[in-house]
Amino acid sequence: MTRAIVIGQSHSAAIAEALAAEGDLDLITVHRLGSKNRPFERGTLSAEDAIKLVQSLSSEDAVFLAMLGTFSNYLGMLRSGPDFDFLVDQADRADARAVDRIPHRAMAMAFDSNRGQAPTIEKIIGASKAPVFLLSSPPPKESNDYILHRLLRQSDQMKYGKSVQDFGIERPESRLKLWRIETLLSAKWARSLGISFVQAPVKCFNSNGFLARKYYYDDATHANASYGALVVQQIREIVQDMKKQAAAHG
Amino acid sequence: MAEHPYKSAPEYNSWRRSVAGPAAGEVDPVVNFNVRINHETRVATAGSCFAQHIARYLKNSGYNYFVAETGHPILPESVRQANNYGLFSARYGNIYTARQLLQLFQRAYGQFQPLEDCWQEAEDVFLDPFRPTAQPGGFVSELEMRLDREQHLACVRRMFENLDVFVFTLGLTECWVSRSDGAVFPICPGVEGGQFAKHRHVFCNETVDDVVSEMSSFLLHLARVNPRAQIILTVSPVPLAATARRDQHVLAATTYSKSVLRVAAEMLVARFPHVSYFPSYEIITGSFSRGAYYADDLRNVLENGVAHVMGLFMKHAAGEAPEPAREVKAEAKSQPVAPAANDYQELAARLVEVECDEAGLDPEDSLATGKP
Repeated sequence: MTRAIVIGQSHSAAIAEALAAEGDLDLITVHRLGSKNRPFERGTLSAEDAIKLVQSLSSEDAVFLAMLGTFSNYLGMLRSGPDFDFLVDQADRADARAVDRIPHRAMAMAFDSNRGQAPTIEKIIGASKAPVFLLSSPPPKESNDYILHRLLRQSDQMKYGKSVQDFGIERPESRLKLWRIETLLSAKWARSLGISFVQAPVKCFNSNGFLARKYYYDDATHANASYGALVVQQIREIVQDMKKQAAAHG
Repeated sequence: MAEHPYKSAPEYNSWRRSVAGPAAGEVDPVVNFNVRINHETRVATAGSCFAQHIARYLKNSGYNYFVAETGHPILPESVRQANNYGLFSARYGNIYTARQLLQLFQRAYGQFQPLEDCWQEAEDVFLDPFRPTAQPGGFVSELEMRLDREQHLACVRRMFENLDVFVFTLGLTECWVSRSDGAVFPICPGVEGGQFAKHRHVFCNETVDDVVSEMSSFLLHLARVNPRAQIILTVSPVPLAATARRDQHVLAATTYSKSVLRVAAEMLVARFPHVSYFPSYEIITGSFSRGAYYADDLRNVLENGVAHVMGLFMKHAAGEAPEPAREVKAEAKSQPVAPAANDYQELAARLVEVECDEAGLDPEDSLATGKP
């Protein structure tokens, strides 16, 4: 029987929550990695444990990693300077309102040199007989008011005497472009490692390309269990395809 | 004994007393250098690769090295450096010739629009022919290249209009020019991009008259947009990597090139009261160092040579005493600049990390579904 293992960080919580709500805990299991700040949180795995876990899988199982997609939030949550723009790809349009243009390859270099989880992911891929899939992070939220309100709930907001409000929230269109380029580069990187990249579910987007409101988790950056349910559906479809292919090959 | 002019000449007029006599590190050929800088003086730089050393030294010495094209602060400092922001005062790359500098000014102010203005290297690699190495990997589209150039030239205008002191290092006389409109390329087409074609590109080896005329034109243009600007000219001590002349050895071609530039600099100083010459060329190439300031390739200048030049520059322009431990300090200064704190990014990272730690960590949440 094919098993699907999800290993991830905070974005895996939405998947786990969706599975818990469905009561379907047999086919897909979620394992959360300890974070930088809470490496030994109860119920979380260390990177070493995650590697041992994937070593125990067969080639008929599947590993889904929800481990990238945070750097766009680091860069694009708060305003860093004048309004900026860059081209996500050749087909992208320039934003006429931007003050500063950033070359695509300079922006890409910022992401490529800050893929902190890359070593762990590479070790997991190396240890796994099962095919590995890299899951996209959810798209960003469109509403600056929503984000600001959620960030202001955190008590410790000052840095160098400046608060979240002093910096301000970045323009939504820049936030979206940062997520799009991070996704593009993650997919490219995944291909270079010989693994598949799973795009964010089509249904999760609003008409402007942001996360639709009904998929908001109650913070600035995460998606909720309804979004998790969409990802669970993607995982099920991939597993089904794997089974069909296995059957076709006898 | 009869009196003669040499008898009362100052020490620096005597080769024996000022070049052969002192220890190599004590030789100081700077005379009548009247430019003064302080920590507020906005010093901009351009020129050949030796100018990069001057820029780096000024930046690391706490002077107001004026960078008009800094790169957006969303890019980490290391990424900005890797993408050549701050290498010079704007992201124009090496400017080897007087003609290139003049045309940069003319392009920035819309006085010249070269016909050959985009090189496509691959489906998604486009280069600006006038700074082909400025963007590592090139631009992803022609649109991006043109937008970036528009921004770059705006920064160049801002630099010219706001600088106090402009240090320009004359590098070469040899250059490659478009036959159609005289546009000069920093590097021969085909070397770092573009395609060389005899019917489109022609070799030019500038004369003293060429350099003086082009530099004079540039200086007059600059004075119109920035009447207070002071100019420091230097000549790069870095020899030609190769000559395009078939009739000369590269060593002879180098001597010609540097001689032309040195004479041109002298003539410009005589002609324009706001132009000064700083003898970095003499400090590096002078026989007193017995070639010790050159790396093994006999082209690149070693850090102790740069330190000698910049120590004297600081002494004469900023009134700083040369430091005895120049060499050691120079090594320290060659280290990459420490990444500047991106305060917004640190706060954002902390906020995101807190959210990531908290996401789904409520007691009733799904972590319990994990089955190790």
